[in-house]
Amino acid sequence: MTFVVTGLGWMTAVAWGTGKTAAAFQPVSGSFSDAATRFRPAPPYPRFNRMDAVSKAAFAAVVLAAKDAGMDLSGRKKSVGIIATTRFGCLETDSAYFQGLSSREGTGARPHQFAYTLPSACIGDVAIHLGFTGPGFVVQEKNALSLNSLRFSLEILHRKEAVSMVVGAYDTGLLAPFAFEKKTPAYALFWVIESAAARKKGYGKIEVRKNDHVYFRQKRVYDLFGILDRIRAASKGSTPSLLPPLSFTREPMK
Amino acid sequence: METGKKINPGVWVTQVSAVTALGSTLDATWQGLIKGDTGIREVKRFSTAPYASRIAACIDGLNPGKSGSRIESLIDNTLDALTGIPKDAFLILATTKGPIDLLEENGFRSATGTEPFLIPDLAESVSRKLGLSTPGVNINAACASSTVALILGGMRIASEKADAVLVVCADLVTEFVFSGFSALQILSANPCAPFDRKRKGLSLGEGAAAVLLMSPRRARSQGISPLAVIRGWGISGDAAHIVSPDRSGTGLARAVKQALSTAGIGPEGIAAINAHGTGTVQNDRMELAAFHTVFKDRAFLIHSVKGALGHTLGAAGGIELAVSVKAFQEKQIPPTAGCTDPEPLGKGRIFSRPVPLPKGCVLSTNSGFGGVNAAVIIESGEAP
Repeated sequence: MTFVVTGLGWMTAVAWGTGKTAAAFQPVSGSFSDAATRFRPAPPYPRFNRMDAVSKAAFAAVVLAAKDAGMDLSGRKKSVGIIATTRFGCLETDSAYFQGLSSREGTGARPHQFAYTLPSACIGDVAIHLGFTGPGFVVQEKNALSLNSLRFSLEILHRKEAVSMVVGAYDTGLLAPFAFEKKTPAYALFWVIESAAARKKGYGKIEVRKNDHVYFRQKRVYDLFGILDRIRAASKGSTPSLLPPLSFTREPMK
Repeated sequence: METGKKINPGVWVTQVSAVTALGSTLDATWQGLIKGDTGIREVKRFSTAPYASRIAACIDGLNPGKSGSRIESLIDNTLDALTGIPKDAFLILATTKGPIDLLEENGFRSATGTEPFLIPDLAESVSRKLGLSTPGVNINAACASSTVALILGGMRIASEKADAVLVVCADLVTEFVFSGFSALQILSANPCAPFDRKRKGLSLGEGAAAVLLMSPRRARSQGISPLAVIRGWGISGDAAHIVSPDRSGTGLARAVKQALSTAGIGPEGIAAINAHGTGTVQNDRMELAAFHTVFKDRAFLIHSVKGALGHTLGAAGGIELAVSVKAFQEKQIPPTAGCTDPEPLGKGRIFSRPVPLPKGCVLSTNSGFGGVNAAVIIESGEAP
């Protein structure tokens, strides 16, 4: 069975876009609060304004990817799953929740904020908004650009345990007191992957070969940005140009 | 839409271990469960004065590990019972909050320095201690985390991408988590009573389990027999609410149907269900509705371990799988501690005493925030 990347959505600390504007994707360090606050889901999602910034960014990138893929955005139930990779996930919300708790000797616990101390909460929100009833979970890895979430997604598709999968990664730009590393870029980046039989157009064929290596457009990719590299290269008619941004750890280019 | 594919993954469970408030081994936990004991007691670790409950199933004498987090010790204690873990095993950790106690103590920094010790660091640390060839991943699917982890491990083996997968699941009772569940008003002041008509909410617990999965080919080549076999699985989303389950049970029913489909069996193949059974009004009602949707009036047993072990969050599914392995070995189902007057759909199926396990498979289910549902079907390792 053949699978194709049919949609791309992204958000950084300052902007958002789809596959058509992939060339503008450039993660910068900082908080999502600016871009995420300006984004308005269409159709509206009543809970959106109550979500934390990193969840809003992941939510927005998934919605943009779904729109780019031409998916039904009505919220009607559909067999679509979501897998996201993150390293820092909900760290800032953990901190904010705990500060509220400790500042008021236990009485400051906010139930709504507590829900977002799970990195998978944003997956649940966007599943509600778009009616996705397939597998939904978060993979936490030190290398947030790892291809494991993509491998899991393609296995689920091969087994027909979902009709389509949305897969990608998000991370927050860490601020004090959690600036463990000098510069941590904020980004959310998701793709829609569907059966080639279901869609005629797309950004290219994606597959996991027997040795567990991932190929996009017949060329091996080494991390999630590798897929974006090739989409950007195709749109600009040049060789891949996305350099390893800031402090990202990328798999070695063997 | 039903999307199950008829396959029998035949993933072997070759080693299991568990550490819970009832005991430092799976055998001790099992003995406590069969006696009807509960590990739910007054919390001494932090002040519960501001909260809706005073109780949880904490593990006595669980001290912080080298990193400063208790979760490291908990995982070490669990892994102590396993031997000969293959170095090429793919490590899947399943924890919702991992070393969250470090935030309370040290702002997520390790006790040994200024380096952060976050969930991915915990996975890497486990991998390093075991000498595994890959750093490992953590799966976060709220309270279904370890069941999803087991399913992903099963998929890796069934698709021949891995010969061995080690699933390690663990979560702690911390003030961080306790306060959140208290604020959500779903903590019970008394030990939880899953599926009981008078249930008032859940009790938190802490615990860990380790499950080694192997392909039959690899296990046979090493002369290893299965303790149990994972035959089917399913994961679904409710797409309904962030912190409450879909009352109709539609999402869980879909996961169970998918699990039956992947196992290639019908509802009559299920002898017993190790349910999520948290003791909250909504969860237990939703589960019984889902089971009724799939199994109608067929005869099958239901039990929950949470009245004895508390709700161990991301570790729940792994601990419950370990308990099901013991159930096959001992050919009985433990009582559902705390349940004396089951809901109507549970009458004749849920017992406050141990009951013989009929021939057939065990279905284990978990659900979590975000509307995630996961189901696995296992059969005895002695089955033909």
